[in-house]
Amino acid sequence: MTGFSNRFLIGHAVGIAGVAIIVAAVAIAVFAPLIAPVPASQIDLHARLVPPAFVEGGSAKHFFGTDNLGRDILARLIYGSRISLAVGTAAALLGAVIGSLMGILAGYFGGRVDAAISWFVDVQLAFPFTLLAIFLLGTLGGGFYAVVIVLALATWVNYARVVRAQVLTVKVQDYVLAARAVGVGTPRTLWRYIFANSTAPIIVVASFSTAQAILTQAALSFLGVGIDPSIPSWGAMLNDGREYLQKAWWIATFPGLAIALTVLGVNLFGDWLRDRLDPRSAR
Amino acid sequence: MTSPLLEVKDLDVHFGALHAVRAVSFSVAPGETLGVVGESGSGKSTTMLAVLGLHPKRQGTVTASRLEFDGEDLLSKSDRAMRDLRGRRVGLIFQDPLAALNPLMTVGRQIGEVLVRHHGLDKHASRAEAVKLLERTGVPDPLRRAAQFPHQFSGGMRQRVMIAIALAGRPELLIADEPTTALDVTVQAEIVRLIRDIQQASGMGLVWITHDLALMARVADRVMVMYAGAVVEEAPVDRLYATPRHPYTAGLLGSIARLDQPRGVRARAIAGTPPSMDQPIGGCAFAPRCPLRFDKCTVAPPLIPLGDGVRAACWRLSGEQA
Amino acid sequence: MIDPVDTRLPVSEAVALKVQYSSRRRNCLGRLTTTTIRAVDGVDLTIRPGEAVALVGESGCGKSTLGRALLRLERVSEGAVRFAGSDLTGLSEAILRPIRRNMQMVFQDPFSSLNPRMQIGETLAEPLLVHGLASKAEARARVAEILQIVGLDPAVAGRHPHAFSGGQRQRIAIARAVIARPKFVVADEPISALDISVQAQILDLFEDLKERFALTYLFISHDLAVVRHIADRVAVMYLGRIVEEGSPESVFDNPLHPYTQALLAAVPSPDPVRERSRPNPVLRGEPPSPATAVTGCRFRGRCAHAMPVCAMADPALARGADGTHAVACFLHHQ
Repeated sequence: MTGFSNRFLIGHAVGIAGVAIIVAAVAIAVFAPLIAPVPASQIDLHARLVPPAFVEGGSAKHFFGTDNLGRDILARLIYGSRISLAVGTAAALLGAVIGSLMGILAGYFGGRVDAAISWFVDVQLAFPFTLLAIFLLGTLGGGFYAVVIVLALATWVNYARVVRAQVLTVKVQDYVLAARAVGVGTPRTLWRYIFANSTAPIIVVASFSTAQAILTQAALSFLGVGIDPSIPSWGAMLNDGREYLQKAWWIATFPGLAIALTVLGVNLFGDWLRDRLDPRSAR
Repeated sequence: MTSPLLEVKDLDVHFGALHAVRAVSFSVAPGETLGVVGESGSGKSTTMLAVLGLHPKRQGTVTASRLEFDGEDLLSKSDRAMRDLRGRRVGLIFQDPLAALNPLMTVGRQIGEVLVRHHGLDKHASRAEAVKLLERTGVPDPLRRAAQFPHQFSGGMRQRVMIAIALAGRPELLIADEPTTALDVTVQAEIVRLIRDIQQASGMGLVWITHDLALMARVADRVMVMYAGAVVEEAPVDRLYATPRHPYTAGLLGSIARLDQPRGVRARAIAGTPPSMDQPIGGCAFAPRCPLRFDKCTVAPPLIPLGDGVRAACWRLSGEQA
Repeated sequence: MIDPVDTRLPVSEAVALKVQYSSRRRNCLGRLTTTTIRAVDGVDLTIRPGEAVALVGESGCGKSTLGRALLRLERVSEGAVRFAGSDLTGLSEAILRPIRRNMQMVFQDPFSSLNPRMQIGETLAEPLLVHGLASKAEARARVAEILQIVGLDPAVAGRHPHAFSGGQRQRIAIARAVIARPKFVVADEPISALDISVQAQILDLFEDLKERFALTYLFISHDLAVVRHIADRVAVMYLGRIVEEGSPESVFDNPLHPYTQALLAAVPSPDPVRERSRPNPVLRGEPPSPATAVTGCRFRGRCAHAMPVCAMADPALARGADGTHAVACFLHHQ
């Protein structure tokens, strides 16, 4: 089956690329103080808006240039990865836990449980999220945990919807009835039979929800709510660069590219993982 | 003896490393029913799909030293010519009629389309002809039924619709792939009779694929038994059931429960399972399960002609003994 | 714990059992219509210890629903289901759970009846662990033992279902059903999804296990030829009701109900000479949908012997003089 194995190998290469991007991003975040050329918040008013090294007028001292306060873009990118990755991962995980649980309950028990959970999902989808986020962050106050909770609230509906749909197909499988016939209790059935066979879409949603959380965190920083803007994050950098798009495109461009690349890596990894975790396609 | 309608020699189908059909040769004469029997994965359906050019070219490679329908070479035909051949001169019915019917089109229109395409009938005439075909295939109240959609038909009635579509092109050859497997025995009996009646009236050649040996005894004139992608035995139906020559055929016949045998006459199971088709098979594919295997079986046996149209691929029949 | 100490008690029993599903849906005018599907429509069936009872009938006749209802895997609409003398009819799932170790099920499709995410060792140990019948170490030993009994290598316990063929999976599913030593096993078309050359192997396994573990079976099948050879008693079902019941000899050699006769006449035999002399099929049409209400005899629309009385009353399943062969047909009622 050449067609199959070719596809498998290509899938493998893509997965490895995704893993490589993620590993690189995590390594950068963990070892930020060792890699960064200068501290992220070091202001140098003599070197404001220096273009990147590979552009005319650039300086080898600041590879990606500097911002309006003369802070090194590269250093801020490196430190900013910490917030972006941490927020993205934590929010996606928390959302996955809440959303999967809700989806499983709605799908498995049906009836009123389903109606209640589906109502929450519908309401949340109908409500403009940004407004909700601003309101919540206003009441909760900013900070890392508040942002993670708000972003988890943004993503749980994605999980709840796909998990519910998956559970509806899984729960009518013979093996679920077989579990009942054997005398397996409800919690174990939910965990070992229903949840275990509903993970494939969770992984897909987790990958794009991580991506979505990284982007939304950036958007919230851009709007000036959420994490303290003095802490470097990719979103805050985008926000800072907004005013200088004409004069100094590099301030916003590099964090934008960093976000795009990370999101791409997470998505590639998610696709690959979904294929690998399926015992039917495992080799 | 009339010249064969369909003649296939040394047909091989590969899906990458998977050798699904191995050097299969057979022919079908007009008015004759060739039964193809085998288990899932034996290559019986794949063989027929390959003959009809229904394997996507990118997925499978089909080779044969001869593949002729009514004297015309099929391997060199264009996709377009094959499509034309399939609708008109060769009809097809499958196991699952619901999957083969368009759920959004009335049954009458689906039959009519074939008539418009292959016989150039106009819309009005095709409509009337479709109703006639439904009547011929035993659909009660055909005028009203023609205006209904596939989901409004029961399994047996859907299969009648499929047969009507297959007959719309007035085919010279009908290939029926497990057409009654999804049906209950009482409905199966009716469908079998319908297809045989039509065949007798039209004189078309018929290839009937099934895994059901009891049903095969009812429908076939000649039977080809397939195992692991290859033909292991071919014989006129009476000879096959009375004196099966290949150990696999004999084992199969011995392993099925029979209604006409008294209780206590136990069916004997064939040990083991069919080989996995993505591994290369050295020697006789049935040897690992065969009670009669001997050292010669490490080499794949050819089909040995045994007279009276009987062929079987077993070294035990070659006169050489261990 | 329920234990059938008294062997004279039936293992499983259905009394005037009805299982109905109602589905409400809006028609094209937006009106709510309720259709009631009478899957099992008044069945009395008694299965005694050590018996293999076969339930035969065509698709949609309610035989699978009846089998599941006997295990209380279906909600009972009317009538009663008993297991070893105790009434299971209204019991909640929590109360049923400890009873379930004594009554098990084998499904038709071994590709969907095993959890693809569990190693088969885990699947097989589950009945023992769930019911607290063994420690983990004991369960491992029992799993190895049962794998050997069903003809598989105990070393395969660490594999997932996808690594097995259909026949091997069905062996695993059967092993799961018998590992906790149940009294009663319902097998729902357990060989019809398997390759023909493998079917007889699985039937042999059922026979072997019946003797080894003193099992009582309900064997659900559409294949009359198979049933003839494995059943001690046969019940023929049509549209939610048992229409004939008796020993295989009496039902197959002397069928009384016109439906049983037609069914038997339609079964092909692997004998071309006999097939050529076979009369044309006698039974026309298809069974009505179980959603339509029938008055009188449910078979009368397809019956060649229908009489005026058949439209007026529903014939009861009545035993003949021998006390075992029963039929629901006015032709045989005095």
